This record gives sequence, C-alpha cells and structure tokens, in this order.
Amino acid sequence: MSRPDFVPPVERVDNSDVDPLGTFDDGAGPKFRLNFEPEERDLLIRLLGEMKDLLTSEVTEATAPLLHRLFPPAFRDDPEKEAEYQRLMREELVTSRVVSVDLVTAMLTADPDTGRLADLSEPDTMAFMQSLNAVRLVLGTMLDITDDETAEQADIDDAHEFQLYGYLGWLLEWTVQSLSETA
Amino acid sequence: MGGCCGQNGDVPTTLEPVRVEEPDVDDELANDKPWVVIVWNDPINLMSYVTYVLKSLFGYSDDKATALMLDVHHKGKAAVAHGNREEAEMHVFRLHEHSLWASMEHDV
Repeated sequence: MSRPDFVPPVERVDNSDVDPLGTFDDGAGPKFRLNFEPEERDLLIRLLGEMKDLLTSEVTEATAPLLHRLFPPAFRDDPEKEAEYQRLMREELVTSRVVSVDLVTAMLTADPDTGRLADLSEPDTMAFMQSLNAVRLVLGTMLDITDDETAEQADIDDAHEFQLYGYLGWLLEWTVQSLSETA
Repeated sequence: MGGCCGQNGDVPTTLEPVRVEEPDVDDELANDKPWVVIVWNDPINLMSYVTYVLKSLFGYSDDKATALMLDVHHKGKAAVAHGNREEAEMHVFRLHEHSLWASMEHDV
C-alpha cells in the first residue's frame, strides 16, 4: 500500500451551509461538494468511460492483467470453487462497477442551467471514492506498479502518466479524509 | 442470504430409497467449516482507503481497521473476517467491489 505525502484540501459542507435551493432537508446526513475545474471533470469522465469500456471488453493480452486486478480470484488454491465463484459473481461484479461508473459520471456532469455540480450525499461520495480508486488501480497496474519500490518510483517520476497517477491518489486521499471525518 | 444447507441435513422424500446417493463429503464439510477472508497487500491501494473500506464494510473501529491495514501492509496479508462459505463469499465480493485484493480459505 502507499501513502501520499500531502494534506488534501478538504471542503466538507454541512447541510446547514448548503444553499437551500436544490438540497434535501436536514437529517439526510452530510453533504459533499466537488470543487472541480471543468477540465478536471472532463478528465475524470473520460477515465471513467475508458474503465467502463475495459469492464465490458473481451480479455486480450493487453487487458488480461487489468481485468485480473479488477476481478481477482476469490479461491486461490481451488480452481473448481474459483470457477464457480467467477460464474456466479463475475457478472454481478461487472454490473456493480458499471452502475457505479454511470452514477459517478452523472455526478461529474454539471447542471446545464447553473453550470455547477450537485452536492453529494455520503453514499454518492462513497461511490465516487470507489470508482476513483478503481480507475487509479487500473492506471497503476498499467504503469507496472507491482511493489513498494515501483510505487515509490512512481511518486517521483514526472512523466505525464505518473503525474496523472499522483493526481488521482491526491484526489482519492482527499475523498477518504473527507468521508472519514463524517464517520 | 437464505438459510439453505443447514445442519439438519436433507429430509428424506421417500421411505424406500433404492439407492442412497452419498453426499459430497467435501462440500458438506465446506459448508460447515469456517472460512477466513484474507486481504493481501498491494502497492497501489492507499493505506487510508484500505482502513476506510474495512471500517465501512465490517463496522470496525478506527483502531481495529488501522491495525488490520497495518498487518496487511507489514505482513503481506491479514484475516479481516470469518464466517461460513456464503458469508465469506459475500465479504470477498464486497471487498472486490472496492478493489481490495481479497480471497478466502478454510480457517485452520
């Protein structure tokens, strides 16, 4: 596992601080606001779209390691039970991930009237965290981050892909901290 | 998650069985023997994320989730939950939904 060396800027918005327009009554739990530039939204939406394509793609030499990481074996030493698990659960797992990607893509799509993103509930924010993590996992796997050494190398490599990987880690940390504070 | 496969066994449907099928002993035992759910270390998932997922999926305290996360990090793996096969499979499924590297095996 890795730990980023930054303190993310958290803006958590209590219900009481939320503009009354377009929000639910209090008692519905904490709300979260995503303060993204349009280019950040576009980037995340594109990455989510690519992951959705991957989730529903055929296994090829290029996609096999990525799909293996997204759908790891449940039974490491029992091929029979593993085949059964994959048969029963794989489709459900794909569906769950696709539903989450679609939900998060919608969250990142600005209201055409206000140009703003809707504030998120806690479950929304957890879905956001989950999909963001999956995107980062796929990217990290593509970048061959396979052990602590390559993970540390990734932190200092400034090639575009590694910067993107760092950005996703920063955003994920931000999201986790934000959720943790409400727990 | 229904209560199939309880320990009462199959209720006979006829009083005159010509031939009794031996139950699959391995499967029968598998249903009763406890399973353990393992999370394995990986270099990508953030420590804070793993802790948060363990807290939110299993309702663990911050201390317990952090201790388990550190076990995963330092020892390479940790047993995060126990249960029968059905329960363990559900835990593994939910951990997989959150992209944790989880598997299950018989408790020893």
